[in-house]
Amino acid sequence: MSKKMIVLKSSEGVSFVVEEAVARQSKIISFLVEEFPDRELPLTNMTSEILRKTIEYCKKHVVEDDGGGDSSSSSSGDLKEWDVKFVAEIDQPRLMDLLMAANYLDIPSLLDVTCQKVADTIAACNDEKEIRATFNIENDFTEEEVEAIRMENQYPI
Amino acid sequence: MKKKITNPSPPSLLTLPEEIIVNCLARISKSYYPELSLVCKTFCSLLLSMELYVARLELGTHENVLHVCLQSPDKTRPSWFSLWLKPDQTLTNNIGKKKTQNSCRDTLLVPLPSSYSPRVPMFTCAVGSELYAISKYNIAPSSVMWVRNTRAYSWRQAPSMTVARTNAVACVFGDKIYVMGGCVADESTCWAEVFDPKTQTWEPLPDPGAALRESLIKKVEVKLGKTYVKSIEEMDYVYDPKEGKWDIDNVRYQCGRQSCLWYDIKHDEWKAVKGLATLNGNRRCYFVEIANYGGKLLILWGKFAPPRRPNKNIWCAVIALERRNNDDEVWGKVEWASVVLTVPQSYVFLRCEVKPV
Repeated sequence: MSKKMIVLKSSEGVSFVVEEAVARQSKIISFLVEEFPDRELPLTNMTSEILRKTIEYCKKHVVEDDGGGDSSSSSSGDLKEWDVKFVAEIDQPRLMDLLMAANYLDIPSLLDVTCQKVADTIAACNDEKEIRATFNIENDFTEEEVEAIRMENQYPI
Repeated sequence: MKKKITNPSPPSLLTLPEEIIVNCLARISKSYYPELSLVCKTFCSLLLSMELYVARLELGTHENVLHVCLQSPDKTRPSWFSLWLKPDQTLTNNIGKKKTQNSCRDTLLVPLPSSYSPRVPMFTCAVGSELYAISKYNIAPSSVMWVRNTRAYSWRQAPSMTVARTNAVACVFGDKIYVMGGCVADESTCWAEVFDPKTQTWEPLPDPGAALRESLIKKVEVKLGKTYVKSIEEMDYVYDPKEGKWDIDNVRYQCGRQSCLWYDIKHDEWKAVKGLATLNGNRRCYFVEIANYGGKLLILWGKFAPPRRPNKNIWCAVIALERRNNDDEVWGKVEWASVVLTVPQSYVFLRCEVKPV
């Protein structure tokens, strides 16, 4: 039985041909496939690079149903290990884009691993300055406000 | 084939939707929250938000935090503290060390509200599929009780208490909710009242007498089948008989000034927890409390600071428990022990509790 394929198009206009089961891990694509069968789906806010990464993740996580019961393409232990490697290889800017993609396409498990990576990165920072620098956050406190917070947190941080 | 990113500044975390930022923050241990509150205003307000609290419950990342309530005689309201553990530290047992090393400031009772603990946890209890909640710390007296389905996170108002209360004590017993105190001492008709979730009505309890109404209430608890109201006069007031107990892994513990005991059901006797001699020796103190700290035994005790000092130290120890010798012995291993707070001698210890936050 040949698998049904669908086409996803990135913001640069690059087309990706993907198995429907792979793409359907996105709740949004799942919905769009049903509404607009046999149509190319334009994902105008996703670059080819991020779309490729997202598809790579979905391919690994697809649960294949061959009629002989559900069988995941990997065991859950392997999958966890693979996830760890997957997010470890992603640098900061791309992590943010991937997180946005997971949110936009509504892929809960990808959102889960990317949020966890952000959390781990924040926890690994030495102080608030490093967090700001890593995540490009502007310090919008005045000196007085910082002092007030430090007073409130009268314990070593 | 990787494409080089030419954009000089990476996207800011703050460009993400707020719920995503909350999702990320909720995965970080609360110990880091004081540091995170210094990052920016958005972080600061999200750390205090109810959304973050709910996200931690939904993700299962909530942590057991010890909350302690102390009363200063010159204040009308009690003060709440929560136990903060410095992240990434190996905590040590400081018993017997030099006084200057009693507290390494890695474990501290931090006054509420803080970025670490924005609010005093409410008294909550589940009756059937409904979860009821009463504020334990409110500045203005309130008669509001909240209710929500145990599977949902949005509260609605339940029938109000007959009188408005601040810092009342409450317990659930026989599927009814008992609330006591927190109102003016001469409120004799409704000083204590009970809510029946079946009929959704409040009924007053008999007047316990002026002596209890006028005293400082420590807590109300269900123990050995009775509802006890403890005031700081160390007299127990009993309201109603039935079954109930305090335990860790189905073993009941109690802690006195000399030793820490566990109840051996097989031999029907109280036995000393072994391995705690040094700890017990250090604990000649004026109050001692125990709590179940995520399956470990937490002991909190007060000790006077060296003579002529007007302060007292509050010590805290976390003890891992192990059954040995055919379950005939319980051994305790002190994981860490340290001074967590120094307060003026006049402060009265009221109560403590471990709550997931």
